[in-house]
Amino acid sequence: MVSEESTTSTESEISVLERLYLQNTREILLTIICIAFGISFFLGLSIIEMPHIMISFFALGLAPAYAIIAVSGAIRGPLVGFLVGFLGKLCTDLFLYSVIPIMGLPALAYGVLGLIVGLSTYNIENGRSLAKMAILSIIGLVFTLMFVVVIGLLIGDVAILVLIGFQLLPELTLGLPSVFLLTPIFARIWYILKEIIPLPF
Amino acid sequence: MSQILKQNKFLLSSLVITIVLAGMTFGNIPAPPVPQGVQTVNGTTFNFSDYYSLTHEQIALYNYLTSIIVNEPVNSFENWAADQFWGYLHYMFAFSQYVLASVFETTPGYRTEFYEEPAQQLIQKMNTTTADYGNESIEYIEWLYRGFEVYHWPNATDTNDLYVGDYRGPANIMWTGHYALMETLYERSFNTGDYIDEITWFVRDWNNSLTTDGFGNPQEGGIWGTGLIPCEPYIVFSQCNSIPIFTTELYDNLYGTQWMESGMWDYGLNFINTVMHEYYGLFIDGYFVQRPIGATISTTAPEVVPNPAIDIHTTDGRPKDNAYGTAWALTFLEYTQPELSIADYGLFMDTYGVDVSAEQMYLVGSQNNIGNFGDVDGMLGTFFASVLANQRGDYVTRDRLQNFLTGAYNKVWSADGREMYYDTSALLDFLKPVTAGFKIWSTVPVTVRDLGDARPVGFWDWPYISAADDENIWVYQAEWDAANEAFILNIKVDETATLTFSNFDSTPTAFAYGSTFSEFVASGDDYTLTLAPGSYNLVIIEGGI
Repeated sequence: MVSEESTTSTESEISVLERLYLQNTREILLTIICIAFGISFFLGLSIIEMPHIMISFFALGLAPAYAIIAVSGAIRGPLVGFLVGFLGKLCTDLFLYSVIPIMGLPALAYGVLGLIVGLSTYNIENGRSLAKMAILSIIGLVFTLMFVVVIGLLIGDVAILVLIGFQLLPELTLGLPSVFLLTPIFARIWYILKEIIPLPF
Repeated sequence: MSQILKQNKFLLSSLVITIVLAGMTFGNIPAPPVPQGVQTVNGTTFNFSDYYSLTHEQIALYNYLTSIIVNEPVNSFENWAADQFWGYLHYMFAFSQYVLASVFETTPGYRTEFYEEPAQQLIQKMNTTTADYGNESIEYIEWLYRGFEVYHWPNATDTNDLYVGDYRGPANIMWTGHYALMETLYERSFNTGDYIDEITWFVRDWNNSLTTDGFGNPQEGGIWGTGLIPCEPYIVFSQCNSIPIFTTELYDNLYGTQWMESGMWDYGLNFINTVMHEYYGLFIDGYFVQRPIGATISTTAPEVVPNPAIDIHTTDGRPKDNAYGTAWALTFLEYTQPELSIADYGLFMDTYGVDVSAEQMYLVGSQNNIGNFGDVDGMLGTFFASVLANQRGDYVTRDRLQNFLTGAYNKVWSADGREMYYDTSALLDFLKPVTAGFKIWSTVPVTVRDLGDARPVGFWDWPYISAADDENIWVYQAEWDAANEAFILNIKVDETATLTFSNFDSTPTAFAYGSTFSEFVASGDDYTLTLAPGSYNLVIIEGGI
């Protein structure tokens, strides 16, 4: 993790491989481990049935699995964020429901959340930086759900009423507070853990 | 301290809001699974997970459903919130009865008034006539109101032609089929004998319609030449006829008759499987045997009759299809023709199923109307398909359909925690009992196909709970294990409750965790057991150790 301030001036000098944490064998291995951890956490939190309240088509509650995607991107960059979202969703669909709907394209859309959050860098000790992470998570989720709706509409032949009423609105209203509130909390938990346990990433 | 708070304003705010948000949703936490233990009594091991079981939510939904059935007179239908859906009421009664029958069979050793009263009440509601109740009757609401009165065949208004109807038939299988099956399932569940004569009358009447010209002369294909009986005069539907076919099977199994073997449905089954099936490889929705009369919507009527009903989404004259009718027919016909029905299941789901996400799927109303949703056919199709998926053991699909059907609604529990329903009021109040009924029906372990068989030999002599403080208990499992001669009882008691057991020859003993739990008190020929509040996995054995 590189602090936000120190990276601002040198960000343009960081190579793409470094940005993706693929600059050497060790980093590639750590990136793979990070992805595996992210997927496991995503799967684990998806298995837990989280309660929510419905108000018409709006869902009130928390979906912590979304925040795992975002925090993966925040900690380890856009590639890890994207793959945790994509593969995490794919694995969850497969393990919990034995289906991969619409050729896995909606799962691909979930990667966008991690990708967008991973595009920036954060200082997890700093409240403003955590707020930036939360805002980028919201932007990422909005793009993700837009892609999900477009894929469902154009490729999945799903009725627009269903996509909006049964998917977009509930997921948006459940997801927005989840990523906004939980992403910085998870990031800080990870940061505290890192202080206690010498994690290599 | 204040420094820490100052430095972590955003994080602490997030944490507080998260806790508040999570706290607000606690009411919708899923009910915990019913505890099912293993215990050894007299050297025999009883694993409670080997026996059928109801869940806490299924019983709460059942309590809600039965409360709207019994808490109004038979000629009142206000509890069903069917203001815009009067035409569906008699289906509500019929399908509710099938739901109840599946619940009864899941706990066959629990047969108190708590189960019998709503089943009885549904039959009475279904059979409300204008003679007894005037306009507050199903006969008026479903039949006379819609313009169907007494009519004849082939000329509906010529009184010299064959008389084929008022709402009790012969040509109204959408009422007579369901009514007879409601009665037959009641007899299967409670063996009172009250309805045998009426069921017999219907079966004979169907046989007359299917194998003769209506005047007693043998005629292939019966009165309407299809081996099927019409409703919505004059259209025959595979789904509507699947009900009397299933009834005939069950009637034969209950009373040792051979109506199915006599071939009374052979011509019709062949007609369903060929003329009404081949175009899509699945059932078509309706076949006109005559021009429609009364208030029947005729937009689907073909130019020339007899012919299939015409699809309204396309213009090439192809036959009409729909998801709910096919799911319904496949569910009820599986008992009679398992190979054909099971083979069609995969094609049916592939044709009508739409993936919303991994968690949710729904069915389109018609395969000629892909991309649309919101019509009754699609909603009903999704409901019926979840029942069919449950019957097929395809629990992943069933759960995905149920997620779609119930995921958008809050669970509302009554103040005393005895009842639960899905709050569909944002969409339609009418969907409350529909959703409750289908949720139970598509998740209970006993399927329609299972209900086609009669109870095992000796069943009515086996020990059972004949009376109880029903309002204080939750009976998850209750059945006599004939092989091991033990009564399996999994029960939760809210307030001290007494259960009366019948058919034990000598004083039984209840065991919990493999040890003697309680002895029974004799009460005439019966024995009573009083339980304090708590949850119990009991093995009850005659005579004890």
